[in-house]
Amino acid sequence: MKILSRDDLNEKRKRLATVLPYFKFICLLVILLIGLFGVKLYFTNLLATSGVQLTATTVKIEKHEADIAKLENEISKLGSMKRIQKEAKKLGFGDTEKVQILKSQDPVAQKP
Amino acid sequence: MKNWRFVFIQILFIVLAAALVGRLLYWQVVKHDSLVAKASEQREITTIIEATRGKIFSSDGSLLVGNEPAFLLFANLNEFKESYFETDGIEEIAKEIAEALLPEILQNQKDPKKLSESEKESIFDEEEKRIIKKLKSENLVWVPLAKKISETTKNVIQKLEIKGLGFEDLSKRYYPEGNLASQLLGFVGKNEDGLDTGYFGLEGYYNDQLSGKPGRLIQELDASGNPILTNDQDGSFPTDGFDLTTTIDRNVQYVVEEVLEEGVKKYGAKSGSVVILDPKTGGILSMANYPSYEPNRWQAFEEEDFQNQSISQVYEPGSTFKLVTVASALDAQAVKPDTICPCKGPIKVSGYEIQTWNNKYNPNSSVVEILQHSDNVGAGFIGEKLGKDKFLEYINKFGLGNTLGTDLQGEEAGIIKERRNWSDVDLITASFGQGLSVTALQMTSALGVIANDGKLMKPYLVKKITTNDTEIEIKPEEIRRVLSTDTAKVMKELLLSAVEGGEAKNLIPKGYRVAGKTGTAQVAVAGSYDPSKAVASFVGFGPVENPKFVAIVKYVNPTPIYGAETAEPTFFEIVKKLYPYWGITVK
Repeated sequence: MKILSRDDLNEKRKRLATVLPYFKFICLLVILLIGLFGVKLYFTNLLATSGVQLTATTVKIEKHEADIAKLENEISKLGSMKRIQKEAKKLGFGDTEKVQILKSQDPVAQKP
Repeated sequence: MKNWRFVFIQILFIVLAAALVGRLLYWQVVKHDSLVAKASEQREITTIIEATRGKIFSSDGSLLVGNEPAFLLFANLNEFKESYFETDGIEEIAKEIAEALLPEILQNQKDPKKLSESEKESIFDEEEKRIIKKLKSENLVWVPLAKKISETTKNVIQKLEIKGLGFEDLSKRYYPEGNLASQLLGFVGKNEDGLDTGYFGLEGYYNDQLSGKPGRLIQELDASGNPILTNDQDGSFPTDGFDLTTTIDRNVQYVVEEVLEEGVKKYGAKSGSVVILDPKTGGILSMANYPSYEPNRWQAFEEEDFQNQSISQVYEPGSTFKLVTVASALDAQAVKPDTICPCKGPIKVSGYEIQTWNNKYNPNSSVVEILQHSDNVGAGFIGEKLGKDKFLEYINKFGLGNTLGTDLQGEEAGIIKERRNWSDVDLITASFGQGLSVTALQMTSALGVIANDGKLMKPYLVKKITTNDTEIEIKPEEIRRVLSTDTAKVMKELLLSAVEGGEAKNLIPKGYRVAGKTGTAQVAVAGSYDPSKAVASFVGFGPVENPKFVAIVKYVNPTPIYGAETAEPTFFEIVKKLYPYWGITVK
């Protein structure tokens, strides 16, 4: 093994001192790149997995829309003329010959 | 020595590299387009987004036609055959599926309650055979087994846990009011391309507006088939069909259909029709025909059941046409209200003899008496005073002989002979409504001219069209002025007298102030009139001071055949129920 002299050591230290800033810069760059890559990976994953949420939400929306349509149809069926007449008959309502239409009194000023 | 080995290896590597590059060139340049397309196909999906068909509402906003979820039942035959390879297995499965579908199939028959057990068994056997045939299809991967099944049936089939079966979402038309206004509304079937299409009525006339336009969504999918939210989504949104709000009064329609059905059965008529219009706007408040059909299961009925007889069936109007003759003659000043007709006996013209309906004659009749007695000889007298040219001019002005442009599919124009083909006999017979034909809507509209102070309004059914963004109101349209206001006023009084002093004056209720005219027209069969067949009708409006409605009741081949004994009493049955609804006092 070669033993370095004091001069050689000093020489090496000087060289290191000049190279170190560049080395630090490169390390920072690498860390930044890794960080950016990590962030991109995170958001890419988010984008990809949000498709699952989107599908689930879409399915929920479609289900709600179908339920609303079903309920609207149910309301229409319950309000149909045939059903109203059937239920009215059960409650004792029916046709009548005697109908009197009540009108409000004529204004006093118009009386002869 | 060493050199040639080295050269050999170099050449070998060059050849291998060239082969590699060549192959890469082949896949990346020569096959570029097809591979890009295949890759797109694998990761992109185009979804057709169906447009929702527009709904139809009555004038008060109640739903007349909507949509309900339905499903297509299909079989993936590869998966199916893997699980149920043996023939017996397939037949057993087909039986289970047929049993699940049977209730809905029976429900779609014309008279499901009247089916016997053997008929039900026969339907079941047929369905089972059909499904077996489908499941045993060769060279097919996917077969539809049943279309537009309900959610209930879908749930039943799902519980069977049969492998290889699947469901696709569809929708189908839903009529919450059953057969109310069925011929007015029409139905939705399939066209030659297998696409949903409206037929008859509003579904047919407004098919394009109701259908909307489907949309497309092109998305990238991940390996699990979920969409990836990138900027690469493409496509177009669907345009849902427009919603229609009609002028139909649901309550009036219901009452009219009930009374009409009773009347057809009571008089043993072949069919019946009622039309009610708002004379001031032309809005159709009600249009009913019996027999009718159930649009929820239209497949069980015949094509003749779908036709709206009020606009598609032409008939000779008979004495109801006298209102056109008299109104035209008064307006043209060919006669006056106090003009007297000799009317001593039959009219002899061109070798023919024109008699009254009962062979009784009323000498020196006034115009009002001609209407009260429904005197054919008197009508002929007025027609002769008017003359062919003027008569034809007024017939056209009243909108007869042409379609009125109503927004319904299937409107007929009626038949009015061209001027050059009119003989002297035609003038006389046309005066009392024989030898020409009209539709029930046309006669109602013609009387509406008198109710509306001389103006002809275009009958219409849709008063509002609603899109996603806008509402379009359809305004009433005046076609033309036919009579002067004075003539209309005189005609109102004459027609009121015709009802209150007519042949059936003792049969009608008092105080309703209805003006109108009865009609009994013989039906032509094989070139001559059959005395046992007739179209009986009554056309009227009320209350005469401020008409709220104008209507016609028409029966085909009733017993008795006379309008005064069939159509007129039915008209007043309807009026008795509707006057309280409209708040009209009976005097």
